Amino acid sequence: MNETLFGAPYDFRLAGDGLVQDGFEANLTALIEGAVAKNGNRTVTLIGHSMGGMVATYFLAGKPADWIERHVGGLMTISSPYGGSPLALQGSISGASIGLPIMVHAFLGIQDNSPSGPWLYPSQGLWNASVPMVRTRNKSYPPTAKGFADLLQDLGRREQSIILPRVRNMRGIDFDAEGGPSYPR
Amino acid sequence: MRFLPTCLAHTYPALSPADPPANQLPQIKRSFPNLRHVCFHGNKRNTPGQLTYPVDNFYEGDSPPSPLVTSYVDGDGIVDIKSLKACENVQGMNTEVIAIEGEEHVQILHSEELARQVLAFLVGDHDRQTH
Repeated sequence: MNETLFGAPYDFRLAGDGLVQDGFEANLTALIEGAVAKNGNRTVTLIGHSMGGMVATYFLAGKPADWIERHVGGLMTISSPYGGSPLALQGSISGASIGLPIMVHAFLGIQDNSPSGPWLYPSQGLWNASVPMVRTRNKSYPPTAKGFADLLQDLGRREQSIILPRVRNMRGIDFDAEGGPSYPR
Repeated sequence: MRFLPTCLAHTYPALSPADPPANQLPQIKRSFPNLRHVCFHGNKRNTPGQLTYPVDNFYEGDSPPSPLVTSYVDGDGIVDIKSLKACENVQGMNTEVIAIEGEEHVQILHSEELARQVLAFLVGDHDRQTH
């Protein structure tokens, strides 16, 4: 009793579907159900920072409404990139520290093939498709499906190329909907 | 409240490129039952909006090229403001967007204002039983 604060670390390399496959979602479900049971059936509040907010939202999108009603009273997201970020593109190209005290080039070896990279690419519905988001001396990459695909091809990121179209629309969450990302109704 | 959280045990296995195809993955479209959602974000920080790599291709040199930020937008220094505010698009939730003025993406976690708002939510508004 009196245990009211619980942590749920996830593998940040994975996108939402990968977190289902590696057992995170089942573990989080059990953690929440246990927390509710330990605390007199009080519902929990999920709190996620940055990508953690995306993970929490994706988690809830896979739960039946009555399960949420019985177990989750609220969601707090902090600094969550619901419309993606240009720095996710940088992560695929050259590594990005995203504000953390890490060596960027060492991090690149993790970021360049992680499914979470394309999951956090900028939402095509939020940005002007005619304005390049990434440029080299002789090529431009706009924030469009083709722009992202061209970029990954030029980087030789085969795994992320395969993953890209899949992670942009999962569980009814369409990251590239016109007007910005669209979540289930 | 305990301040050391009980954590899920979690391991970090090697990633496999052999993920199942999309049509074998759950594609669930459903509604959130008017869940209360508070979406905190920082702002008023120069945030990269466009990156320029001063190379002809990405494979020049021995190490990955470093980008020049050629366009900045409003945001928390890491994520642009449009993306941070896109939490409003989560339909079926009762979403309230709260800007913590001037805070940075990670440093916001040290913000007294954020702590105050979180505590107010947890203590003041979230005290119900369901079963």
